[in-house]
Amino acid sequence: MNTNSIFYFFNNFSKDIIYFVMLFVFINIEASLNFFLIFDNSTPSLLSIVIFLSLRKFSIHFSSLMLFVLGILYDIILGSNIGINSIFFLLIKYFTLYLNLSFIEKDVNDDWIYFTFIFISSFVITFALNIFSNLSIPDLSPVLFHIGATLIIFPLIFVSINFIYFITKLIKN
Amino acid sequence: MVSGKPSNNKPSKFGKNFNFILIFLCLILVFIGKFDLIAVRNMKAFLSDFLAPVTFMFNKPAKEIAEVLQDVMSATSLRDENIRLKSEVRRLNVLKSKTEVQEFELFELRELLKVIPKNNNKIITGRVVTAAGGVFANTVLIDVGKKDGIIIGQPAISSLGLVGYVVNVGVNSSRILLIIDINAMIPIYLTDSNWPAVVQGQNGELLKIRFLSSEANPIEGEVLETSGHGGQLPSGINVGNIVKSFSGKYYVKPKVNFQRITYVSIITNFNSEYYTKNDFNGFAPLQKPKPSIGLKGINSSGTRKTESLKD
Repeated sequence: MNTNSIFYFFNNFSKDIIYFVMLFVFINIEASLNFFLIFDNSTPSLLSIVIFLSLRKFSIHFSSLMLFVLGILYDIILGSNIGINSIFFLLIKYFTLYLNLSFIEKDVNDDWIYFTFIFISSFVITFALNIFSNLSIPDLSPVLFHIGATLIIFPLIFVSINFIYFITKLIKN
Repeated sequence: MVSGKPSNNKPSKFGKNFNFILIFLCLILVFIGKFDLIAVRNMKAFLSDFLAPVTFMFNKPAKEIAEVLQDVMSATSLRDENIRLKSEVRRLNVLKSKTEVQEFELFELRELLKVIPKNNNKIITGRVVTAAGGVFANTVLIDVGKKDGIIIGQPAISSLGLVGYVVNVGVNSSRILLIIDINAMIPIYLTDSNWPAVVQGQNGELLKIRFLSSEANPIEGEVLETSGHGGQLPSGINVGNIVKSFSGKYYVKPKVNFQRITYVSIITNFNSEYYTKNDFNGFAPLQKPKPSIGLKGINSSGTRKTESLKD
């Protein structure tokens, strides 16, 4: 019994480590996208897409503490106010798990609408907090580009994942 | 398919509460960060130092790929670029000959006026480790730090002009707040009319002009330089040019392309202590006289101008 619980603990711990490394890699990829000419203004939020899809589609449950630490690290990499990105990640997680939009029909592919709602809500809260902490309103063009690029990239990633899933299933059969 | 039903693996009530506790903790952290406490600053510096090699490892391939793509894109417009460069060389040759004469004149005038020679800037150049952009902040990390003599507040420049100033220093790395960041405010003066003002970043491409006198008439394309007011930055560093928006408002377009900066130089011998003395009044450029309205050939006193043969 005792051996089982230790094994269970180490199993979870190793999973968490792998998820942490995976998200950390995504953080760095997102930050490095800024070198590309197309993302001169700002980069799309890859992390929000990854968190949303992992929680909603792959049943990967990221711990809140992990998202908090990752947010802090991301703030340090970007040099922004410490805590801003942690709040954003935690809000994405919270809304993905608990938000239930009853007006959306379940028959249609509702993920994009869900993601749009969740992402914009989380971003608006974080952005408002940032305005409040800086006491000035920034230029809105990078912000709108950030939102637009993320919402455009989401269906592309989603379709790509479905396509890979379909191919692997086909090969298995 | 993957697009099946959403996960039912929902966390417990404790998880929900824990999420809220962490969000609240983050809110506290955001406001603690704004107080600029030494402990927070040191922690940031330590973690920046620790993460710098990892970030560099991830950014290097992305940077290389972006550069290759840019080269491929520019290869299509090589002919146009060649024509443009040839005309640029001709224009620069004319400017060079003029500058040489003016430089000699300036040297002679300095000698006559016994002007105190300017101190040569001692600079340390570092490689940019992270990309500049971000929705909430515009900073870059460079690979020189405390061990190279970098301290907080030192100005960062590139070959084109002012990049920003140092806001955080680790042992091996430093963070530079770019002038386009919303928290950056730079005292400047308009080089044509000599009016002082302050430019503030907006987290976008352009800078906002603040505290400019209502009497000032900025001209589109006018160059802005640092005034040195406040003693944080030396005077005479190029900041950018004035641009006019569709609404008629004036903004500043920075000279430096922040997405393309690879190396940044830090001026390390700028003695800010000297400038913080009480007797220092800042850089005060002379105001040019207002242009008086007059008729051609008649001077301001109303008498006819007689041009001498010598002129």
